[in-house]
Order: sequence, then structure tokens, then C-alpha cells
Amino acid sequence: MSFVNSKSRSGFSLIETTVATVLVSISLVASLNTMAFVLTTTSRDAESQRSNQIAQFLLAEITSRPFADPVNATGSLGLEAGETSLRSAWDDCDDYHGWNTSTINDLNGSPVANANGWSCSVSVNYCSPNNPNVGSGSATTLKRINLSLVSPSSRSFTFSSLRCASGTLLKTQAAGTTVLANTEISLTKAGKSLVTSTRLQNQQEPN
Amino acid sequence: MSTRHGAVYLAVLMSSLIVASLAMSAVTAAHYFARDLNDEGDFRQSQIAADAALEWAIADINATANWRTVRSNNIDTAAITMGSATMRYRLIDSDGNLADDPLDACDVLVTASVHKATCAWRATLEPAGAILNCLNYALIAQQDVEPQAFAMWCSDGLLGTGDKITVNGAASLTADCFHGGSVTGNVYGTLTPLTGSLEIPNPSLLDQYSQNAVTISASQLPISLGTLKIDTQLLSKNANTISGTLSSSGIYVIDCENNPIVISNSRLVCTLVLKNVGSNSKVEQSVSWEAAQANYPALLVGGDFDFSMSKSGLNESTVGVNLNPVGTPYRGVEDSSATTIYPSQIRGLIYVSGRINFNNVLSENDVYGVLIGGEKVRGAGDLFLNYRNLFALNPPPGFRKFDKVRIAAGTVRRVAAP
Repeated sequence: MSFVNSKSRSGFSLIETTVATVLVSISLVASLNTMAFVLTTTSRDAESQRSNQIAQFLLAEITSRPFADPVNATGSLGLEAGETSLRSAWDDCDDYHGWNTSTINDLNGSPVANANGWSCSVSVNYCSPNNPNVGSGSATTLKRINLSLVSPSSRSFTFSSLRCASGTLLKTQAAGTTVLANTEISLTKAGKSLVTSTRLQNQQEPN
Repeated sequence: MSTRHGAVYLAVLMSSLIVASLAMSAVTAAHYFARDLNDEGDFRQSQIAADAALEWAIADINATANWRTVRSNNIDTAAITMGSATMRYRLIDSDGNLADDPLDACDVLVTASVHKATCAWRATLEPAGAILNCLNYALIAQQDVEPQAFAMWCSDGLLGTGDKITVNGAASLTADCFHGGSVTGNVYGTLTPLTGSLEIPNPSLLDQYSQNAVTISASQLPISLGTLKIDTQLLSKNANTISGTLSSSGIYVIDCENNPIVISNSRLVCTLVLKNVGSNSKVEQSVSWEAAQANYPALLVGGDFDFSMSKSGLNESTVGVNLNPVGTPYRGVEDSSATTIYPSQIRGLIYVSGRINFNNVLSENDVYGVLIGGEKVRGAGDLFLNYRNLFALNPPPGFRKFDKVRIAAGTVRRVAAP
């Protein structure tokens, strides 16, 4: 008997091995699931973050435009007569109404860093000056700018901003005046770029 | 027996613990990473919303009749939501009362929040309504108009006073006048009783202009017998012979700290804001003065002020200074010589919150623009007023009513959320 007992002490029983394997397997599966969740969440958060950057970039451009066309003001929204799809020539915020693009470029036509695969669409509508959530079918003194972004993985993001008839940057500029209305900032590290933009709240008065 | 089983279970449990710890570490790291991303995203969205809130605030104010009484000072409006952002604004009057003066300067403070992220902007509002009717007059006085002694006052524009016109002795006044009180003496022109009120800015106008001005300290001015002196100086956007610091807006401010100040034999191509002037402050002798921006005031004074100018031209060879160097041309000419002669006159709008006095019987004061006095306008010196309607056509900041507002240039600044 003592010989048999001595042999059984030299290894694991089948039941012990099975229990150990099951326990380790459960831990590994849980860990792998967790890692997968972590990677997915990180990816989605990074995408969401990217949408914020692109939105800030585009809304800075749109809201730095005057409330109404400085030379051909009409109550209608969208491009005025004679204006083309050349975005750099657009001269009021509602010129962006109906604009949509699957390639996000800056005003010079250069692709915006890390916006590859993103698309955007813009609508501009009149809204109540007292409550921007209430739309208006007729011209008011406040325009609501809605920006929709779609990521490469087809996730949608929406952003809104406002432009007022007497708001910031509202200075009657002489025809042909050039003013600095917004800035674009690009940071590059190890081949990766980050681009953002902001409008300039305090424009220099024309002399 | 116990040794064998304990070792196996311990090994299994330790392995599981290590794997679980790694998983928990990954989850925790991801949590913090995600939170950082979310916080940054929220902050960007709050910035976008704060820009929008500023626009909404202006639109809301302009769409709200009697906003000074409808809104309470330094109290937030009801919040509105736009997407995931919450926006609100408050109005701040420095005297704590929005409703006590329809021309009081006022700030707007907007706050936008997205989850825990908050962004706030503060800006000064300026009136964007109808023009103040003072710009339709060549000379306006809230109180009496009193030419004295042998004074000869001539104006090709309207004269308005909320009180009497009293022309004393041999003095004469030639102008079409709107008067709130009686008229006596030698007045040549159409006399019309004033109906309605004369609208002039209040002294907070000086603070509004000071926000975009370069400050010249009183200690940087020569002082003689307690009087600050600006003599043989050149002040413009591109020249400052007093302190050297240039003002790109062409606006300079001096707090006289209740000392008198005397400006003489100088060329000024700027808006000069004089705060807290002492008694007997004045412009005297030969001065060539115009604003840097055509429709801007040339002179804004807080207190009483005298004019005692000479009609003799400002002669560079006399004062020994070149007053039209590069950057400050005169009639398009810049030079390095000291031979130019300038007419002694003020071209622009003049606002004095207190009394205006032409106290020197020998003085000849030449003004092309608009002269606004918050109290009496009187004196024995001559006055030749040439009305310029460019101020009525394109009012300078602060000369409109507050029934509509807009953001004053250069006043938007980031502030801590209240």
C-alpha cells in the first residue's frame, strides 16, 4: 500500500488537471474578451475624438464667415447668384447650406490631416433668436449651422453652432478688405498630424 | 497529501490571479484613457458651444424689448440645450444695475457646458441701435450756452442746448439753435424750442475707448507747477514721442489723477482719452489734431475742459520738431525736415463730460466736427464750428442707442466659469 501511495504522489490526478485547465481557461477567455472590449472602446473613443477635431475645424471656418452676404444680401439660404462651388470664395455662413463632401479639405484644397475617409454635410437654417432649437421658415437674426460627420466606419456625429446678425466678427468691412478670421493649427509628431482650428474672436477693426 | 494538493491549487490560483490582474490593469488603463479622450472631446464641444452661446446671447438680447428691465444684473438666464451642450448667459453692469441708465456700458458673460467641461466667454456690448441725436448738431450742451464778453461764435451746423442761451455783452452767436430754455442777447439764426431730449453718451464712453487704448501714465508726462504738459509732441498710430509705446488702434488714454493737463504746440493724429482731469485743463496755443480713424472722436474728456487755441499755424521750425515723419504723413507727405506748417485746428468729434470753457478772450478756436458738452458751454474766446456729418452717417462706437447691441471690437476674452 505504501508503494501505491508513493506512486500517486508523484503526479496530478485527472480531476485536478481538469479543474486547473478550466480555471485558467476561464481567466484567459475573460481577459481576452476584456482586451477586445478595451481595444474596441479605445478605437471608438479615438473616432469620437477625431470627429470633435474635424467639427471644430469646419465650424471655425463656417462661423467666421459673415452672417449675410456683404455684397448681395438676400433672405434666402445657400449660394447667391453668381457664386460657384469654389469654397474659398464663399462669403457668408449660409453659403455652406447644402454643402456635402466625401473629401475634407482645407480652404486651399489640401486634405485635412487624419480626415481621410470622413465625409461631412452642412445645413444652415434660420431659427428663433430666443431659442435656437425652434426653427423658423422666414428670415431671422440667428442662423443655426448643423454639421454632420460620418466616420470611415460609418458612425455618424452631429454638431451645431450659431451665427447672429450682430454677433462676433460683425464689422462692416470695406469692399475688398482682407481680414484674418480664423486660424488653422497643425501639429506633427512621428509622422502623425493633428489639425485643429479656431476662429478669432477679436478681429482688428478696419482702418 | 496536504503538501501536494496545496501546491497545485496555489499554482492554479496564482495563475488565475495574474491573468485577472493583467485584465484589470488593462481595463483600468483603458478607462482612464477613455476618460481623457472623453474629457478632451467634451472640452472641444464646450468651446464650440461657447462660441454659439455668444451669438445666441446677442440675438436674444436684440430680440428682447426692454432687455435692461427684463434681465437682472449678474443673474443667469434660463439655460437652453443644443445637442449635448447647455448654454446660458448673464449681463453685467459695472454699477450693479442694468436698468438705471439706458446708455450704461454692459458686459455679457456666456457659459457653455458639456458634461463636466465648461467654457466661458465675456465680452463688452456696445450699442448698435439708432444714432444718438447729438451727432446731428455741431454743438450740443446739456446745460446753458453762454458766449461772453466779445466772443464771436459761428457755426454752420445746428446748436442744441437743453437749457438757456445767454449771449452776454457784445458777444454774438451765429447758428440755427434748438433751445430748452430762454434766449437772450445777440443770436443770429433760426431759433426753435427744443422738443424731445438731447441724447449724448454718458461718461462710461471713456472706459469703452480705454479698453482698446494704449495707456500713457501721468508720470511719463513732464509736470510743471502741478500741471501735466503735452508740449511739442507727436502722437499717432506710428509715433509716440511721449512714452514710445504705439497704439495700433490710434487711441491713447491718460489718467490725469485729478491733475490739470495742458496740451500745446503738438500734433495729434489719434483719439485721446483724458480721465480725471483737474481744473484748468486745456488745449492752448497751436495744435493740429485729428483722429486716427476718420469717424472716431479726437478728444474724450472726463471732467471740465478749456479751449484756448491760437489760429496761428503750428510751425515745425518754431517748435523744433518734425511732426510728419515716416508713418505719420500730413496731406500724404512724410519728410524728415522741420519746415512744415499745420493749421491750428481740431478736426473730429470732441466730448467733454463736464463744462466746456473758451476762457481766453484772445483765443480763436477752430473745430471741424462735433462738439459735445455734458454741462455748460461758455467763454469769451472765439469759436468757429464747422459741422461734419460723417459722424451721423457712420457713428463712432458708443454713439448709438442700446436698443440693439453688438460686441465691441477687441473685448471678447476667456474667463473662468461663474
